[in-house]
This record gives sequence, structure tokens and C-alpha cells, in this order.
Amino acid sequence: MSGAAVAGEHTVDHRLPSVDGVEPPRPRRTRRRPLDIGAVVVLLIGILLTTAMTIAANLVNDDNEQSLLEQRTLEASTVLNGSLPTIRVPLATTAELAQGTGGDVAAVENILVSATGEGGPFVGAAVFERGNPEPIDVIGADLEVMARPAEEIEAMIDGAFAVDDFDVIGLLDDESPRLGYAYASKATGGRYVAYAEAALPPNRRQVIQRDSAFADLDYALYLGDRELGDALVISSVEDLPITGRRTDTIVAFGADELLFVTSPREHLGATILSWLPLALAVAGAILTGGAAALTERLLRQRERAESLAGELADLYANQRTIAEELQHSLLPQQLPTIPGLEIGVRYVPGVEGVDIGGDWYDVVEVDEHHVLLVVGDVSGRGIPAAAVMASLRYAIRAYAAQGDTPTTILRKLRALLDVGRDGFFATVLCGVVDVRTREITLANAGHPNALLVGPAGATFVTTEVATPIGVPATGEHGAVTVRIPDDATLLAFTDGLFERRGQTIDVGLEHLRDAAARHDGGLDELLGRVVADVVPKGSDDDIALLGVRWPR
Amino acid sequence: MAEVNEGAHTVVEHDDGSGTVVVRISGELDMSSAPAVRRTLAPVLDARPARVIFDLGALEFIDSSGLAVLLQAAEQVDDIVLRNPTGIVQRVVEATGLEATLPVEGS
Repeated sequence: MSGAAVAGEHTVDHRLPSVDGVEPPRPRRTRRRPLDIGAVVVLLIGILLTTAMTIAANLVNDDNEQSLLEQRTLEASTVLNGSLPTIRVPLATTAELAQGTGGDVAAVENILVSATGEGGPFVGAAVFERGNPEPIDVIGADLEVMARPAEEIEAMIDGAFAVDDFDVIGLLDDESPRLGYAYASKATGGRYVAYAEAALPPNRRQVIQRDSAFADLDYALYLGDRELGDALVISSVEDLPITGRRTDTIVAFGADELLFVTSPREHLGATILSWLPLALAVAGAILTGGAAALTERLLRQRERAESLAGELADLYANQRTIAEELQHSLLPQQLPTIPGLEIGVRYVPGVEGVDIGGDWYDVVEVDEHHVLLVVGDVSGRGIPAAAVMASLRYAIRAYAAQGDTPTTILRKLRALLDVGRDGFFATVLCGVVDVRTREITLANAGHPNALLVGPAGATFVTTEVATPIGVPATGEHGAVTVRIPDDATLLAFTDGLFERRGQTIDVGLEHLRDAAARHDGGLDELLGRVVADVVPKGSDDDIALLGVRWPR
Repeated sequence: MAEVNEGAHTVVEHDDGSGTVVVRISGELDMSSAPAVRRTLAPVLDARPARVIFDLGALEFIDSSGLAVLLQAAEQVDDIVLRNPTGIVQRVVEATGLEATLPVEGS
């Protein structure tokens, strides 16, 4: 887990305020005489009070030290936890995508290529099919697991299907240690396993950088729940086990767990004790110094907390980027150039959470004169929803290549998804544009209608709305053919563009229609302005938007 | 039996004898509240009631994840009706082509 060595952006001042400037008062050269009884009482009370306070302060400090260590460990565990998606997301997406495409290596490879590239979590990866110890695809460095007997690899593949999350294969090869992870497709009848290896640092040691937010911690991380030398994943110290003041935390790690042992590098309790003689001489100064030290310490802790919050925010932003990259890899990389048809698209990811959405668009060139346009939306979010989205998108492309009509495509899609079994459904608007007649034939499975925007205003193209894909069909629903006027633009989109809490969809649809009718200019400009007009900042839903018009 | 989740409140009432279950869902049924509502419903649906009435009089928002919960119930139980849905919810059901799958009681 190299994430333990999180490099901090902030440098923290470790110095305590100096008390060197305070000197004990010089004894005056006067005639010796016994102390006044009152002064003795005051002195005794002062000494008692100071001693009691010093001891109390020491106890508090000790207690504080332990709870601070626990707090810091909890923070470190959170960062550790936060790094799990960087392992889980690429593997799960690959496994589900391999499943959704029936092992289409070309469709899954770009995800693993980016995860094994520079800065990626893995050095090498592979895709296995159940029952076959030979991988169907290998990316990046040689995999150490391949040195193991075929039965062991098959057992590993089967094992991955037995757990809910990614399975940690354990520490491979002692020379250049690596951790192996396997994630099996969670789909019904799943057959594919995505496997990857991450390299551990030499000797499994990694010292936390001085400017990191966790620079004051020593740590050791073991696979499993026991402190066994063989199970050591990584640590910052050579002498193990860690002794003295320490905390042990068990952190979930995929289908396994990690034992996270931490210990503070500096002990502050002893410093206060060493101040005791000086405290008796200049109690006031010391109390001031102590108060200053405490203030400083509190400020430092706050600074640390703020720096940590910043790091966590970066981490979330990072995860968000991974999700967006994956989303991007599942959407068309490039739209086909169709002579006689202008096409524009927008994808706006929702801000909430770090999950991938299930919205998509697609443009398929059927033949010289026909282009299939698709906008769809799988209910929910996350990797399973994205995998459903990917399989529907590829299926539609296959049906379109066979020359199926929009109505037939939607009918065939119904066999691929079942909300009762899979927990998802999908709405799809599918239309074939005939470039010669300038007509579009639209079939609709539960999807919002397209909007036809012209100089005279905007109108929704009424379709026969069938039930969404994944829900049994009720009745017959045909396709609708309309002409796209020479000066009009057809906009198809997902519900994130108009659905708002606290109002019926009609209000949002009206708002969208007004906004679309207001704007003119280039297609890309129109799409940009519509999104800017109707999508509130911080909208939590994803939006896919596709526009077509004739070149002007 | 009641469960309070983040955005939705679910109350399940068993109608004695007739095999009808009334499930009252209020608040917002969306991606964050849907898993908890689904968990609350699971044992109810597993008992194979003859009829499930979703009382949606106080449901103020539903998204596709929320619809998925109702649709999953509709696949398990033959007779599902919506009682008193708000305009907001009713329009989403209509626009999604689901009036026949999730019919409104008495219509």
C-alpha cells in the first residue's frame, strides 16, 4: 500500500516555542534569615500547586498522546481505505466489461493499459476466463503469479468468484515482492476474472517523507490480522515488531484485511517532566511557556487536520478523475464523420460521489445514407451500471451492423436485461437518420423525447413510448418518422438535463424548451449554451446530450 | 415495522387475511435511499403477497434508482398498484412508459 506514504503539500513547523530566553531570578545578596511562615505557606502551596499541575499536565499529555495516536491512525486508515478504489475500480470495470462483451479483449484493454501505465497502481495485469489457467490477455510486466502451477492459478480464479470484493492473492516472490489482486465478474453466470499485480518497495520498507502529514508516525502493515513476519506488506522501520506506545487497527482490504500497526516517532511526555526543576523556580514563566506550547501544539494539530482534509479532497478528486476516465473510455472515443450530417455531443458528469454514471450516447454509421443515433440511460450509478451500459451500447452497434431497424434493436435489447434479476433498467432512444430524405425514424424505450429546435421555436418529437429495457413490454409500440427541417437541430438527451427535485418534469422540460429556442449559432455553441442555461451548478445527475443538424 | 433512511421513510402495513400489503414510502426515493428501501421490502416480497399497494401520497421525488425498486417489486408480485401518487411521481411513471407496469389504483 504505497498510499501510506502520502506526500503532503504543507510543511509543518516542528519546533516548540523556545524557553531559553527565560532565566531564573538571581538570588539577592542579603543577610540570611528564616523565611516568613506566610511565605513558606505560599511557597508550599505554590510548589504543591505547580507539582500537582505538572503531574496532571503530564497525565493529560500522556492520555492525549495515546488518543492523538489513535486519531492519527484513524486518519491514516481513512486514507488507506480511500486508496482502495484505485485497485478495485479498474479491476471491477475490466471484469464486468469482459463479461458484458463476452471476453472481447479489445474492449477491456484500454482500462488495464492505463492502470498499468506510469503512475498507475499496477505493474502488470491479465484477464482470465474461468477454467483456463492461461490468461486471455496480458498487459504490462511479466506476472509473478504465472510462475505458479496451473492448478494454483485455477484455484485462484475460482477463489475470486467466492468473494464479494477483490481477492488479495497474497505476497508473491520474495526477491521483488508483489501483491496480487483478483476480481471476478459479479454478473449472474460470471466467467471472467481481472487480475493485477502491484510492486512493493525493496525490503518492504518505505519511510514516510518528512513533509508528509503522517511524518510523525512509524507504521507496519501486515496482510491478515496477525503480526507475522511473512505477512509484512510494508513498514517504515527495520526493527519489527514495533514496540512501545502503539495502536493496532484492522482495516478491510478487498475480501481480506490488513493489520495496521502505528507508533509515534516522538514522545512528548518526557519533555514536560524535564521542565519540572525550572517550573519550581519560575512557575509562572513555565506555565506561560506550557500554555504557549499547548497552544502551539493545538495549532499544529489543526494545521495537520487541515492539511489532511486537503489531502483527502485531493484523493477524492483523484478518484473522481479515475471514474471520469473510465466513463470516457466507455463512451465513443471519436464520432464518425458523416458527409451531409453535423453531429455534436456533450457529456456532463454529476458532481455527487465518485461513481461512474450509466448515461451514454452513440453514433453508428449504418451505410452510406443511414446513421443510427442512440442516447440511453441505465438506472443507478457505479461499476455494475456502467458495465450494463457498455454491454447495451455494444449490442446496439452489433444489431445496427446487421441492418436492424430501431424498433427491432429495442426489441432485441429486451433479452439482455431484467430489472428483477439485475436490479437495473435502461431507457433508450434510438433513431435512424436517412441523409437523403432528411428524415429520422425514432423508437423509444421509456426515454425522454427528443427536442426539435428551429427558428420558430422548439417542439418535442412525440414518440410511442414503450417500457424501458429490462421491464417486460406492455403492448405494441412502433417507430415514428419525422422530417428534420433544413434549419432545425434535433437534440436528444438524458433526464439529468431537466429532472429537478421539487418540481414535475414538465417544468424542467418547458425550461429546456425555452432555453433551446433562445439560442442560435453553431451546433457546438448551442449545446454548450443549453447546458449552461438549464443545468444548475452542482447538479448531481450525469447528462448525455446529442445534437444533429444538416450542414448550413 | 418502519425504517428511517437518509431520504425516504418506509412503512409496511400488513392487511390481515386478504394477502394485501400496503407499503407507504415518503420523502425522496433516489439513489441514496433506494438500497435501504429495497432491504426493507425484501422480506415483504419474499413472502409472496397477492397484492402490494405502494402508497406514494407523501413521496416528493423519484429517480431511476427509485423506479428500479418499484419495478423489481412488480416482477416479483403480479398485482402492484400505486396509491395516490403525487404529480411529480406520476409524470415520471408516465414519461417512462410505465403506466401499465405500475398502474395507479382505481384508474
